[in-house]
Amino acid sequence: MLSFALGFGGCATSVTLTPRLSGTTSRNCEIHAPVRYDGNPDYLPTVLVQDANVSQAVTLRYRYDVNYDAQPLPDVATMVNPLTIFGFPTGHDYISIVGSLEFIRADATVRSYGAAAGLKRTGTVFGEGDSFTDMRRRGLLLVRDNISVQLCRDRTVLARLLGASPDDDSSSQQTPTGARP
Amino acid sequence: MKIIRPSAFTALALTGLVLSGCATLGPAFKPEQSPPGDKGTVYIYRESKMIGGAVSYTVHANGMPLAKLSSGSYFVYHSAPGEVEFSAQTEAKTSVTVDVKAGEVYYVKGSVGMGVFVGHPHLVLVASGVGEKEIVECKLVPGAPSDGAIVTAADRKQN
Repeated sequence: MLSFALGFGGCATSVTLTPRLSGTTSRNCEIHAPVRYDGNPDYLPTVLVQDANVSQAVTLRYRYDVNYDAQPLPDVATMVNPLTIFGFPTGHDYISIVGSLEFIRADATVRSYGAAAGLKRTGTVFGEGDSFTDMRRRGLLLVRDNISVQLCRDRTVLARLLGASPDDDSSSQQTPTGARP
Repeated sequence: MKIIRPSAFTALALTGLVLSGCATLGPAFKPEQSPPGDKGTVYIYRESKMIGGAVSYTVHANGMPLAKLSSGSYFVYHSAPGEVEFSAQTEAKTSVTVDVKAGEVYYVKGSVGMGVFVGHPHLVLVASGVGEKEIVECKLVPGAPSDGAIVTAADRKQN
């Protein structure tokens, strides 16, 4: 029973996400803007709607960065450890994802949003748990949704920013949630 | 009582078996001089190690087999831009997705972890600085396809 619990419990992936936010995006929350992004469309914040008809004074740029870290236990330690056959961890894998959305006017960032996800999995002799592919996808979707929630909270300000003329700097401020220096 | 002595034939056969793993690999690592500019270059390698050294596995790109990765070997793969999932399987499956950009170089490191009946394959994307150092001791897998004329994840969605 113990080995069963250890063997299968060890394969679970733990997730941390920052900033911590409650709530989800509302259905009618959409932000129309010209968006610069060349990655998989699945990972673009869902509230962003690519719209070439709106003012081009402010463009949005979305980027993400994925980092991997595999930390297997030393082979000898794993081999001589009698608990290995009961599902004792053989190593840990980490993946960290940082997403950022910038509002750019005249080559200067006037507002930015960010989110980061960290995922950790533990492998055993019985299984490796989620693959890096699964962890990456899960993390990118969490980051995407987190930034979407932040955008929806600020949509009034953002509507003003996106509709503002290049000379109007009244709405150029850092967001209180997920803001990056 | 008759003492069984290993004959010359047995000794030769054993030597052949031991050395056969090394004989299948090609020349030592040499970085590509002129990779195609419209594709990304992915080096897939595995450091030479005693433990798990007998285990080898086939690496796939978006489900298509590329080459068998054994201890101390590497091969190069030119991929069209887009997400490419590199995977391998023994009794457990591993995969890592690389968002390939044209003109960029990536290093996917393979290894073997402990399993119940056979070692588990492990693939991870490492930083260029790490990959450049570790791949130096590896030898080329002969006959590995290097052209990236396979479908990307985005292509598969469209079809």
